Amino acid sequence: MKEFRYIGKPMSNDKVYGKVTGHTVYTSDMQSVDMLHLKYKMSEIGHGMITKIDTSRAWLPGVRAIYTWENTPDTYFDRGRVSNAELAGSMNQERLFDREVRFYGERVAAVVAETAEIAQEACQKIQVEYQPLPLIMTLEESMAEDAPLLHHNGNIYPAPNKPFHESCGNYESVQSDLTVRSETHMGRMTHLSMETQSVRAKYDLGTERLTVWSGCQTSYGIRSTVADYLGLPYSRVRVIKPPMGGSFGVKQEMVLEPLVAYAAYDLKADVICHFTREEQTTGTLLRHNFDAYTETKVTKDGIIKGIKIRMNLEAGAYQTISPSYLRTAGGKLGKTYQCSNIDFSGYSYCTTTPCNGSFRSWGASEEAVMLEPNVNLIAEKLGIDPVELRLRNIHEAYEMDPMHKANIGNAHFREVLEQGRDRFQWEKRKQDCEKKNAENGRYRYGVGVALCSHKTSFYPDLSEIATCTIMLQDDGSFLVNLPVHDHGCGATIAMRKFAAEVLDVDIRLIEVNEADTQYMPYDYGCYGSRTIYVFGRAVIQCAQEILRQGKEIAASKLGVFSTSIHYADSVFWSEQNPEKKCTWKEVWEHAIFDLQKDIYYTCSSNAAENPGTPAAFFAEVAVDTLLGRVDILHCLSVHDIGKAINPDLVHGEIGSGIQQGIGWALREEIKIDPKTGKTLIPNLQHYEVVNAYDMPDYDLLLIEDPEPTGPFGAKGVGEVATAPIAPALGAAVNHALGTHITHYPITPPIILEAIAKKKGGQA
Amino acid sequence: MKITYTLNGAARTDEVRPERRLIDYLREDLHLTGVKEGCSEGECGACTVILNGKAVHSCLTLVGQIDGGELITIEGLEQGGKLDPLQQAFIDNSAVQCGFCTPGMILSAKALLMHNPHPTEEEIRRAIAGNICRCTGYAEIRAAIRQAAEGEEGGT
Ligand code: FES
Ligand code: FES
Repeated sequence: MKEFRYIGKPMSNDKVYGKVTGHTVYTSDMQSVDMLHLKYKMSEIGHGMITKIDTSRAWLPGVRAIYTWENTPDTYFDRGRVSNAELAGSMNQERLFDREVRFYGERVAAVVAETAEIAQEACQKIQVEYQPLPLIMTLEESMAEDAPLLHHNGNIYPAPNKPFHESCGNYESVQSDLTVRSETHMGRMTHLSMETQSVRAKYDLGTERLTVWSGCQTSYGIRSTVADYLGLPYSRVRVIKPPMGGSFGVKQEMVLEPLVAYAAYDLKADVICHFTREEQTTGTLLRHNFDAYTETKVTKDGIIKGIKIRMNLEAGAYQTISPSYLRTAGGKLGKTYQCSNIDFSGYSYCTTTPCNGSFRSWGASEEAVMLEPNVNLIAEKLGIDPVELRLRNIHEAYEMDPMHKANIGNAHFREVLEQGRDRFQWEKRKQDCEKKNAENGRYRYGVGVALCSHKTSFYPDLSEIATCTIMLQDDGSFLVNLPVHDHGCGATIAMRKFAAEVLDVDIRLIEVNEADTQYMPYDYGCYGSRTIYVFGRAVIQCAQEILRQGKEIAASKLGVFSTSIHYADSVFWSEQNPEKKCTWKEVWEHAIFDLQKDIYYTCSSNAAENPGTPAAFFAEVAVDTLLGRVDILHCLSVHDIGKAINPDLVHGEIGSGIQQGIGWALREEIKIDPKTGKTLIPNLQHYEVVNAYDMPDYDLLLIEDPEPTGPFGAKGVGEVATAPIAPALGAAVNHALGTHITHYPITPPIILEAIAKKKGGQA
Repeated sequence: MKITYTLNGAARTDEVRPERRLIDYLREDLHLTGVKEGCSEGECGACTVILNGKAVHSCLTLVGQIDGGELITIEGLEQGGKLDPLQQAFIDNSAVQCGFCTPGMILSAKALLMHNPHPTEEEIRRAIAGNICRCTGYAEIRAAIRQAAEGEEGGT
């Protein structure tokens, strides 16, 4: 096989110089002489009607505007949409300000002032009076017949006592030897992107255009929402995606954009809002908490014949994207195992708590943490090794995902499990743990494994289109314009590699411009692990055409047939007469001055495939039975990645998936006070994020067998990296203790309680 | 209040409100936006700067406290067009993803190496334990610090 010039080579990140020197300008770093600052006042009640807002004391010198429900439009917007075509499917419950307060910490007023300090001080001087209403804190309270309705379209998606339902095959009619039941309870967590939400919007009276800067995942979604909200033509609203300080889903939704854009348009000014950490935690979105019941029907040989799951997903005060999140979690149930009788149903329900929303993996982690503990339970009940049990049930390459009705492509579950088992020394570790546990000491040891998969594109749910433009410049360098949103994990450097590889030029001649709605074609946005796969294909297709054009024009310049043109490393030459050669610069000159033709190309690629991305996580833990603490002694992530385009950056990205997975499994939880609805631990002081000291060393195994439909064989990995972590850690803890803990995160109190129960004989 | 101090190697005098947070002074008055704000309470390390040879949180430091002192921000590490070995090591080890934690991370590591040029693995972990990175598992960051430390040992 031909040695690649850039693909698969560690090259560090794009624009890394700016990041190590502090010169990279994130949205939160933007400054201008006449910039105004927006701050908002948070409610101090969990549910109630505003009876009075007194702003008279808040008009401090430097305050330019105060917004409340009384002086802003009574118009709804949808924070999750990616185009206006989505309007029909959305729950559309949110307004800039509402008279009804639905959670503790909700925005009730905003102040725009010359400095952030003035805006903050003015917020404190706004007096709000409320008529309290009853809190709704559980599914039962939300569903009750006499429950106060939080929204015009109710509290429950789809409707009370009519769950969302999706299935394949016929679960009820499945005959089996054994029915295995399990539960999963999951707590809320915060994304903790290091840059908090920051949005800047500027209305320019000279051009009569509104520009929005947001380190977001969907520029076009923002444009459609903001422009519709303000009644402006889309062509006069420009959304630019600057470098972003992490997202993990929190910047997928338009939390601040409508408000900041509204203020900028209203004041004809330049307005910025940069959230504090506390505002970020309560005022954006959290990762969903949920309760699930899982049931499988299994033969005595361990073949899973049927899977049934009931999921109740708490949306928080507004549904936002939660209905879609629920559907997606169920839709992913056919990605890993062959079982073709799957029955999923559930609710997404509103309560008087902060909004839950998009989180890295969009249901794949939830799918894994609902299904995998059950698979481990099957193994335990049948006395079959958990890896072996999975091997009996996995998809083979090119099988159909029965829920999604998409082919899983060149996906290697078997290799992921078998090679992972060997590399991790599963058998040896398992036996060693059991041996050590026989001593009945303070520390108990266990191993755990979990398997899952994810997607790589929106096919077949949406037409999977991505568009790219490449333009040759007069000096022989290239501009690649594509509406990509780099989250920091290497999307733009990958695109540069694709273009440089196909064009066979020095990568320093390739510059990629990220999403800017004014100059680029439409795109849904960068999520769903589609970026590398879908955009990569567009870049390759586009670069191939540029090379074809280059050869044709070189032939014209050299006066030879284009079929006799050879090309390598920026030089074209004629086969017959190798002395006759020219460069991209000369090709450009000939094209412009002699042929009156510029060299550029725009193309859309369509992916009618959605290959699976098998991933497994193996972990060994020591559990301190006295303190309930869990130490991860060793762990291994295995990924069928097709081809690692940025092998160096992938290592870090998978590391972050493990780090977040450990948090979700064992440590991180945002709790809400059931009596007041107040968010406990809204800041970092008591939030148990894994730091450099706690982070275990992790091993990584990439299975690289190119996916034929992928760009140079690549598939997505960013999201699935975090999906198998929690159920594997849960399994390891349960193996260590001989328990069946189902309550995540598995914090020390949960462990101690399980140990006590077990001693009491109730495990 | 008038303060006189050294900023990234150059003497500087300013008229300031001494109770102003150092981070605001650096970002808003001096436009040194390499100093990031991630939590405002000393928990994330994004705002780390080096004051008198020690890594401090500029969100918890008041401007008055830098009077007479020596302050280093991320913008001051590159000297004469040459990156600091730590900055170069962060690039070489692909330790940068979104980059928002990077300035603080590099400065915490810098403060460590200024006092302890040959840190153990444990000392590296401890030195950056207050710097949260959500985009990595810290492995590349630790490798970068190790490389920079070993490089110094080699006299580069
Ligand atoms: S902003 Fe200072 S430590 Fe987080
Ligand atoms: S690189 Fe994003 S937080 Fe560290």
